[in-house]
Amino acid sequence: MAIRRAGPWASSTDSYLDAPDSFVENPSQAPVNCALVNWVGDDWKTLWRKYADNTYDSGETAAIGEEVTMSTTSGQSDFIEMVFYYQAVNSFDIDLNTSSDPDDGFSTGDKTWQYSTIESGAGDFNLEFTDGDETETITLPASTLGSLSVSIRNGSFAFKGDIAISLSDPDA
Amino acid sequence: MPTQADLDWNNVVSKNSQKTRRESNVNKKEGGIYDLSTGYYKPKKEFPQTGKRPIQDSDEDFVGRERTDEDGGSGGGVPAGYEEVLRDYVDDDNTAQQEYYLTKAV
Repeated sequence: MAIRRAGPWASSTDSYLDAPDSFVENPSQAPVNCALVNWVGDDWKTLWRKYADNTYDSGETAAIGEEVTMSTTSGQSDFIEMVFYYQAVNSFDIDLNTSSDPDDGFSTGDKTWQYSTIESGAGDFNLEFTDGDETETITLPASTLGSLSVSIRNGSFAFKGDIAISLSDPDA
Repeated sequence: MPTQADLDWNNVVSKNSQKTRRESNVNKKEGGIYDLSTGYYKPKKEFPQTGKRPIQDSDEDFVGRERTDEDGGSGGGVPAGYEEVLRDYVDDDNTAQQEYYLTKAV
């Protein structure tokens, strides 16, 4: 059964929001996508934000397959995060791609993702983020409105170097 | 006793009646209109705008007319009181589609 479009943006309390004119450091809204494809006249996108070297950078969106990078020299609490809402009649897969290029050895970090749907389906995963390039395939359940949040964070030891993250279509 | 003149007149009337009946039968086959006042079928009437016969026996040709908003129904524009809006939706194969909907404030 077809699903009427929500969005173009949504929050945890409102499924029909306009795209914000400006962003804050900790945005509570994100774009609503049609599974892995573009809407008619509106491209697929995910909100991203990052915190590195005591500075927030947020308010941008990334396309499917577009990489967001972070260079960090200090922070144990540094992270990159991507968040989007989705609507899908059927479950679908999406790839979480991460890569790291440490300056001086590698410290372990956390690679996490969690999804939830208004139909009460939810999942939460936490993997160790290791050196090099990695891809995790995430299966998102069908939903009239679901959300996915992915992030990589420094773990017990401060990571110094470059980290990149992207979301992509496994079949592309 | 009828005179020869009476017989000739009756013969003319009979021939005219037969001719009228024959014409009426032809008109009936060709879709002519039945005339209650005479009991015979009139010839089919063509209209110059479309060449089509009207549904009603009047001077207005309804057959070739374009639909208007006042007609309502499918294919005839937006019914009074409704608004046509284009909406996005996710189709059964997870693709994005668009479709026009008729909405009405309640």
